[in-house]
Amino acid sequence: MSCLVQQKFEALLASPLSLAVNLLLVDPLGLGGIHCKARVSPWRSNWVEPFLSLAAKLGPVIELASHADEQSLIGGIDWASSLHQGKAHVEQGILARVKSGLLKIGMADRLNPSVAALIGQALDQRAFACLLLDEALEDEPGAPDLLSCRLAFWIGEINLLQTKLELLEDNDVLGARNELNNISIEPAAFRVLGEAALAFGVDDLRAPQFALRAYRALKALALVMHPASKPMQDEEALLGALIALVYGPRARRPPKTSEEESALEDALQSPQSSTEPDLEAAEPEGESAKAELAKAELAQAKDDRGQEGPSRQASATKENDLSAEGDWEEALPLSFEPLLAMAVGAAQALLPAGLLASGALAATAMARSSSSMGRSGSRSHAGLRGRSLGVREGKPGPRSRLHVLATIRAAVPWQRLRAPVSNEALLQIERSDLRVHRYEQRDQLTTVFVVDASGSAALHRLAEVKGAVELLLAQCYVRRDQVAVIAFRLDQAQLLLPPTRSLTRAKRQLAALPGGGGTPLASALALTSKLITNWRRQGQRIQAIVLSDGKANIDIEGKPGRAKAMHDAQHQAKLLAKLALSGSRLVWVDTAPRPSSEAQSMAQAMRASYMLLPYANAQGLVALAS
Amino acid sequence: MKHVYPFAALVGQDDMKQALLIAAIDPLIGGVLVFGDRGTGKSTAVRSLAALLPPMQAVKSCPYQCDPQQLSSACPYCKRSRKRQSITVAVPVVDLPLGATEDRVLGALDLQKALREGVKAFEPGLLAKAHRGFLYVDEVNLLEDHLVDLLLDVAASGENLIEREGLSLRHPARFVLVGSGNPEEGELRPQLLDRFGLSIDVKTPMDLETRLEVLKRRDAFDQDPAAFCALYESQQQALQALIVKARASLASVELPDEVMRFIAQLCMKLGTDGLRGELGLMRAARVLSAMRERSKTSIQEVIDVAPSVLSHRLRRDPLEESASASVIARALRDMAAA
Repeated sequence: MSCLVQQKFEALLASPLSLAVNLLLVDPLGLGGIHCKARVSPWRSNWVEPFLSLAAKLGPVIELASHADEQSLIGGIDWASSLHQGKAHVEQGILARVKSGLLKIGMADRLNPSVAALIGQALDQRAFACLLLDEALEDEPGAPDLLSCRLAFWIGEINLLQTKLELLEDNDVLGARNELNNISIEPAAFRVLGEAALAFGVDDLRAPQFALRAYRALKALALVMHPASKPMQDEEALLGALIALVYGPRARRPPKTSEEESALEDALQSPQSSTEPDLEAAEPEGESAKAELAKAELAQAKDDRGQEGPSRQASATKENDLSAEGDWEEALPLSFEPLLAMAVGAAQALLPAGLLASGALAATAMARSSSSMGRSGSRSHAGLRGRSLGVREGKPGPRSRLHVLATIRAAVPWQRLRAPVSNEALLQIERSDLRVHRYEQRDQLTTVFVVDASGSAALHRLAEVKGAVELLLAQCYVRRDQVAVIAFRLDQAQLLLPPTRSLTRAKRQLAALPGGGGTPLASALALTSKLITNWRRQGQRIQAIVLSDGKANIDIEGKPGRAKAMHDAQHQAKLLAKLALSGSRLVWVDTAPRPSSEAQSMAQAMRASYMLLPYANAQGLVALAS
Repeated sequence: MKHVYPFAALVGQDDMKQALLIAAIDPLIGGVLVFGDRGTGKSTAVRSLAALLPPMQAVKSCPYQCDPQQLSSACPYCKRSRKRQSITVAVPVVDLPLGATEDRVLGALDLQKALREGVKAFEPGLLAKAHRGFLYVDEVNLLEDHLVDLLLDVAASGENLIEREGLSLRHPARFVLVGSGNPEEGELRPQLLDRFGLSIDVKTPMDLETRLEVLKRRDAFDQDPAAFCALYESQQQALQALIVKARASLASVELPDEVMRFIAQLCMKLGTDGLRGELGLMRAARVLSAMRERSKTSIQEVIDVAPSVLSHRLRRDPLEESASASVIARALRDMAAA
């Protein structure tokens, strides 16, 4: 029995998804919830459904429609039944009904920002937990930031594919909940969690708080699953799993702190073959039993997920560290330094291979921060949808919807004056009482600069574009327009500045722009059309300004070769022409000293207006954009 | 009763705490704007104010909790009622949700009364609730511009004037507007910025010890709120006493001519628009002197409050790199040298 439990617990630790789900069940209010960024798929339903059915046993589970408005959250007077019954009938809002339960938000990327703000406020009160299902694609803005930063766990598609979900029994969960208040946390753990957050570049102070609460929940869980006096797992293994789970997705850089970190890095370089036999040892034995146990656990984790490299290396690291530190386990209560190294090592091992190194996280973090507001869908049907701006007098019709509440409100003061037609009717409504919804018709313009950052003129050109971006943003206070920058050099194009209207943000991200190298024009145009399509889908109007001399020399696969490069670029330009035809304004600014035929033919192919501006300056670009 | 994280237990963020205390002592300062990263304790600080501020006397069952000592001429309730009992209530700190409609903020026709009794009655909104207290708007930069305009208008005039749905009335609404937000998500128009009295930039502490302290205190609070609050009770009391004392001595704080001159010179040097900068500086420096139990304002107090009073009032050149705070610091240095 105990062996079985032990295995179950280890499986839990090895799978971020299972860990997150079970911890959330133990401490739903303290941990806030899970932000799951994955599209609808069998893998997603594989865990969401069993999780929800278990959560339903423990408390209310309410699903929020992505089009829910503030009224449905807060509640209010139910007019239909109030009029019917002749007395006020107050309906509870969703936020009140979900008290201490779980709120499931599907398509969270489409959430109205003001609704998100309300939910965020309620989360601050620890009123309920939230399951945020975010279906945004990689380069789309996802769920509102103000929500996801209040949730402890961020789960990505990669976590869903790796493992199957281990769910606890509801008795275990309840038992752990009872234990929560009896768990004491050793000071060393505070330090480890605090320092690890800094090491991973996780600035938000909510993250370590979540990690701490998760740690408490995990210890409670360990206690319930294995009530024997001996602790079931080493502290560092638990902490490592939590660091990977909570800080991993938030990390902006691979961990780097003090000297034991550099030792850790050195160790990472060391050949792994020598430690391999030790790792396969099934049963812990010998004087450093604790370390062995941790290793075995890690090896287990590795085997479970079929991931070879990093976990093995990190285990090796641990061993090196241990031998260097000597018999640290004598110094219980835990000494801090080795604990941190081991926890960070364990965390690294648990993170998907190459995730930190590739900077993929930083990139998602960037995409995330651009998602400050969940933007709702296309606003082309303005008048019927969008953000509510209040009501106005008018007749409902195909272009305007009746606002029932406001209509009743307008009619009420006149009831005494209006003779009742029949006894049935509680309310007499006349034409002048009719009120209709007014929706915001925000016609937001996003200007995208596509900048050729290759060659010698790059630095100057980039500087001018930077100036133009900042000037444009400085003018945009009232118009609420946005600016984005795509730059291309070497072998690829890159979205340097996602659409933003914040000067602060633009300044920060444009501060260091690299320049020089080849001209991957085809990739740049491909990226431009992809992004424009995405943004248009979010209801933005786009204009793109390309600054280049049109002399492509890197093809779409990133290989040099002028002929193929030009051919690819022409092809991409033609694809862009479709966007130009469907309403996006394109401008080609030729930056060559004299008109270049390449640029002209490129502009023609993508149906852009052509400008010769060899000394493109910030003011000129701004004039072009506005 | 639900325990709120005590104000005295907040770690660091001294500028923010100072600004909130100044506003608590002198509500006429004109609102506080707190801009900064997520998870820096902005909301916690504002919400903890309610427990910190000394309770006040209010007219019983007046929807606007008027002060019995100093009846507002605008209060429709107190004007009508003859017998007034006074009760002790906590200073209101009202949270304004982003999605709030104009109806909820301003107040609207009370439909229930209208339907059942056929009376045209007014249902007070959030502005009425916040009278004599604080109105907190999180993510103020995401709030609809017309709502922010309206809030600032009411906050400045101290009265909420309602002309809608056949209602026509005014009621007192004197409150301190506290806005917070993250500038990366959109900025406030300069016109609006200028109308906040104080503006603070908060940053995430990056020093390990501070962060650990935050972590420990928060954890202790979560584990046992009652015990944690008891631990900080004496400090809370001391802060409360400070507020009461500073309020009482505020009127008697002197503002010498040379300090006035210094204030005017500083504003001229920085080229702030209008006179709000000067007025704000005078007021804030005086409050700070009262907090420090001085009978006379000195130049030091002006220097201490200058960043929060002026940083959002500088004319910004979009291509200027340096932060407003350093511009002010430089101006202060230059003036000290001269």
